[in-house]
Amino acid sequence: MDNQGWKALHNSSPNRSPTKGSQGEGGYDVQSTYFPAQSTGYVPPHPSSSDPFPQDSPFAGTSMGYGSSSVPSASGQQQPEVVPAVMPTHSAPHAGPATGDTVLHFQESNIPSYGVSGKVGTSDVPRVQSYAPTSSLLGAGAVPSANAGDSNPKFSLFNLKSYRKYFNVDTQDVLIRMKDSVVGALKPDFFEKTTDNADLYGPFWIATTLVFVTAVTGNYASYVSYHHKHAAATGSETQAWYYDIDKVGYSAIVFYGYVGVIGLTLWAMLKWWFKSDVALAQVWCIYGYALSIYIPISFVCVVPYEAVRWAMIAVATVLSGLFLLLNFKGPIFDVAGAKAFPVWLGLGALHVGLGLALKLYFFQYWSS
Amino acid sequence: MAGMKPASGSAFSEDVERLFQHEGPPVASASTLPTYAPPPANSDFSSGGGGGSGMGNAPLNTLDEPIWETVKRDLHRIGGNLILVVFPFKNRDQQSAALRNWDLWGPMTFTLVLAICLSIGSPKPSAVFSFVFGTCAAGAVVLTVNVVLLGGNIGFFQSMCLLGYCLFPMDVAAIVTALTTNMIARWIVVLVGLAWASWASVPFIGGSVSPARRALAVYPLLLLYVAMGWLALIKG
Repeated sequence: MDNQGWKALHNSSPNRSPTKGSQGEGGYDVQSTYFPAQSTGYVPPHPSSSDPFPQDSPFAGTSMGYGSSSVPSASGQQQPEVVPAVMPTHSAPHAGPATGDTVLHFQESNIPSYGVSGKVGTSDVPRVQSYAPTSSLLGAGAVPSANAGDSNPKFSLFNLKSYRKYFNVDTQDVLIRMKDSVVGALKPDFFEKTTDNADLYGPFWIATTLVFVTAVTGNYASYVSYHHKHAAATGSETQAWYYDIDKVGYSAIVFYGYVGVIGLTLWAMLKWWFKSDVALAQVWCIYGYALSIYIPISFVCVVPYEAVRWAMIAVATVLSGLFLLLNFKGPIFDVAGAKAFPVWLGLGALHVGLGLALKLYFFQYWSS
Repeated sequence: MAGMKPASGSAFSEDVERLFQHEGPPVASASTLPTYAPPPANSDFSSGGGGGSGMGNAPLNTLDEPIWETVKRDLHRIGGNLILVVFPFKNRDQQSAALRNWDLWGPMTFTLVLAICLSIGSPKPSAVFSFVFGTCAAGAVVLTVNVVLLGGNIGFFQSMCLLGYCLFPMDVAAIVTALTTNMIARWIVVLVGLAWASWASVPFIGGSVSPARRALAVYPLLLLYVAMGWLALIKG
């Protein structure tokens, strides 16, 4: 009987109003301070209460229990000068876990401290925008400040905030990186540019966007093809067109698999076979941003001309493939020696395979 | 819960009244806590009770109440939070006030409704259902983690709660598109639902990160809602 509890609470508000004015507003964010006063302020209505609901009896009883537990403060509870007396007692239990108010307590005190630390951190670490003009300054400033969060013993493998350095980008940075990746075949310096601040935001959300966009456009292609076929065959068709939800699953496998698994494989190969020190985040970063050109291409590929779709997919695959190969050329050839060329070719072949899979599965119009 | 304003509330200013109204339930819960865990006599509470129970206004002594009372209380809470979260017409502070009292029943309900409505009439209803339910549930987690990783200042379950409640306009859109096959009507309903869901949720999510990253935090949210709107639009 929540409602009755509420009503009881509100019915008691005239009694409580002096308390509330002095204490409730003063210490409102500090729930534990408020708590004893609240429970004792709670007591008066119940003995005199005409509330007939049995659910309130344990309710009242428990608050009585609380009131009796804090009788010393309850006796002087109506006087405002008790409030400072209560406040210091709170500061001790504040550090330890509180009672049922833990949730409120947690949200009031803990989260802002996260936010503060996060904001300080993000404003301290130089933006990626600054990498080009002042790379020496970045080398001096960014790496130590990024590692400063790392060396904090609080930041463990399972602490979410220890991964913030992989999401240390602004909107502008992500857009610039996407642009760089599209024209990356002409200017293959993406690897160097992202060495200090490889982000995983771009790879994850570019892949997720592609999962959605290819599912949408693939279904749209099948819809258009359905209409072409059936408009030609008979005027009115009984069988309706249905979208294919499986396309979402397959495209998720294709894109997350391509970025995640192949990136991981390449990184593992570089690290343990060739003893390179390239970071996994950077491999994923390059693989993820390499896919960004497919987002606009997916929309273009709904045109019902087979030759245009082939050409678009081919251009996108060549551009992003070159972006990948040219950016990984240095890291692979530096460490792999004679085995570098086969590995490098393998990456290119896999990328061509991705382009073919996109063309042949997602943008394949049904036979017309 | 707008219907529960105290009769004496007119004595207070509206702010105080609202504050009291939303802050009340957690305190009430705390005062009922001794039913389960009697605290020590002094105020040095060392028990870590209340972990994860954001459902602050639920009285804990519910063992002997009829099931209908339990369901009704949850429905009341879902309705109250829905109004506060999804319809923040007056001011947005009511959202954060309501989210301090978060629950996950509402998000689960709205996700289930959305999944059921979108899977009706599909040739593969179970695949659609599992896709929608999984995407909304995992999406809420991923979106929240995304905001945290971008340096945002956000409460995990508050964000989950808000994202779940903001599916409500998409629920309405999905119900309407399940009833009509008129594409114009579907487009209108889906676009209105999208706009409403974004209007209710984007300021909360976007406001929790620094302005330079607002688009990064908001974009995945819009992607999720657009994906659901797309499914509602093209359902058979």
